[in-house]
Amino acid sequence: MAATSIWLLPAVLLACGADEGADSGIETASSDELSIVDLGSYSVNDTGDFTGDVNVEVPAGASSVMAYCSGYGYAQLGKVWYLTTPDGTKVYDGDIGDETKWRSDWNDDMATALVPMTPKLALTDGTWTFNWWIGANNPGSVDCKAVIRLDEPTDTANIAVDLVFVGLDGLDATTAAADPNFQAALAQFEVEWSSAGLTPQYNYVDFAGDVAKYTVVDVTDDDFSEFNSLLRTANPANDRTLTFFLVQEISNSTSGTTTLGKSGGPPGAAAVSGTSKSGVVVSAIDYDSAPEDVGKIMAHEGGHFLGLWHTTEADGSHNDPIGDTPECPMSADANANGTLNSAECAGQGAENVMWWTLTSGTATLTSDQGWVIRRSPAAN
Amino acid sequence: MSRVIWAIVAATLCTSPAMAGENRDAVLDLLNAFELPGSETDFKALGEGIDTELMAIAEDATVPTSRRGRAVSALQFYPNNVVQEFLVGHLAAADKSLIRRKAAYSLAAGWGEASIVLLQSSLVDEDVQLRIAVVNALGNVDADLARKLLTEHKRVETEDAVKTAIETVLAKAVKK
Repeated sequence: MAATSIWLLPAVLLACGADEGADSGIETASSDELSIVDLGSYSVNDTGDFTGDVNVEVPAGASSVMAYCSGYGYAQLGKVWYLTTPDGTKVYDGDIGDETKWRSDWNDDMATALVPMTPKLALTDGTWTFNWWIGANNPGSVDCKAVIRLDEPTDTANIAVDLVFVGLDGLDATTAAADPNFQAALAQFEVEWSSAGLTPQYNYVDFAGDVAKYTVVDVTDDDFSEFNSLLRTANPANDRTLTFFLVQEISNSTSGTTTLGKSGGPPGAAAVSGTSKSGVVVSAIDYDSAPEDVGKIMAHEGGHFLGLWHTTEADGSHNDPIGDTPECPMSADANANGTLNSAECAGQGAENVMWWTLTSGTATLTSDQGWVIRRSPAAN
Repeated sequence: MSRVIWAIVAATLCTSPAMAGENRDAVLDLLNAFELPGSETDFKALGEGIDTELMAIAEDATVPTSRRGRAVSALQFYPNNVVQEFLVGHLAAADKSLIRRKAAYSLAAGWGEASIVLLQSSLVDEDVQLRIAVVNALGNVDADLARKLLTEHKRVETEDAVKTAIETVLAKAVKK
């Protein structure tokens, strides 16, 4: 604890450009293995603006940092636009969009960022500089914090998983542990993550809020209020927990269709509870008829939460920044319909947990993907 | 003679939309997407006969309910009489709640104002989640008649979650 405090002060003082909070140095949570540093509040023009440089001082031996700026509302979007390493190298530039070492995407309300996302860009000690872009019609300021994981990950790791049951017919915290179908879902989830050396440890919880409202989580193309509100109820006993909300369905009211699963972020707000990005919501209506699929959804969305991206997007527009995951080029689009389907990308990523669509059989994670997710502040 | 018949059959098959099953893997790949299923462009890019394939998938009990629902949702991209009849049938209380909800959304998206009369009776269905879906679907229709219907229904609705959905839909309409 004492060693933690030694570096907390410079971490706060280096939060350059903070309008307030720079002198407050609030350590909101700390342990020998994890620390949450208040980086201060930053003014942003309501026509859309950069936060300016937000510096995070990383101590020697730290294994990951999850930094975020939040409080700009559900109707606005934000993301990291620039990321600079301690040696001054700009490894991510939103103007260029090079995603070979790092990646950031738009989030409402809370723009999360994780280092590392690949062994190609490991976390080193020194000052990391983030600069977020916050969209128009924001409230004028954002609050930024960083979660720094201090302990060294091992080749195998555990992760606490809260399973929160929300309005599933015949399944709740009491029955789930003995329900063969649900246990089959968890077995699939476990076997897919076992390829990365990560083992979930469960806690079964019944949702205590408005079940009628959240049994079907209604979102639209531009309004994720209900999803965000549900994630805000995540309240695990230990912040280093990944919370899965198992609902009947996530329904997009704009298109009327079902979203099989959605993660806060990505990356999710690892080791931070009570935020709009503090977990994963899974459409679990198929737990009794297709339990393996529910397990696959958990493995995939949990991967997003812990910092993984799709190996290749359906339209070929993006790849993950990880070196040992196969990429499927658009030249594989044999039927030329603009979508890289699983048959076209067999052997080129379609067997990976983070392939964009659910496939039959057991998907796996690569060595580098395991390296990333075991470093998440949520893992142990 | 038999050769002539075979020629006719062959010619018919060659010029007809794809038979159900022919595109199943490609369609299922889109329906299996973890986050967002295929768009109208994605489905249309697969060629002819996809509505037939989607209806077959929607009725296939071996396909997980969520994917059957997604197939029903994708039928909104094919607003023809056969599809409408199919959706109206699934909106009726003969299928799983999720499938019924998707039929409501698809009817609204594919048929616009003409769907209001098809959806109206489901506002008083005993399934709360279906009522919420119908409220949202009618909100998507964006018509005075739909808003009038929702305003009237709010007076008799007993479930808070449905009332909240109506308020949200009507508030969005005012914003527009």
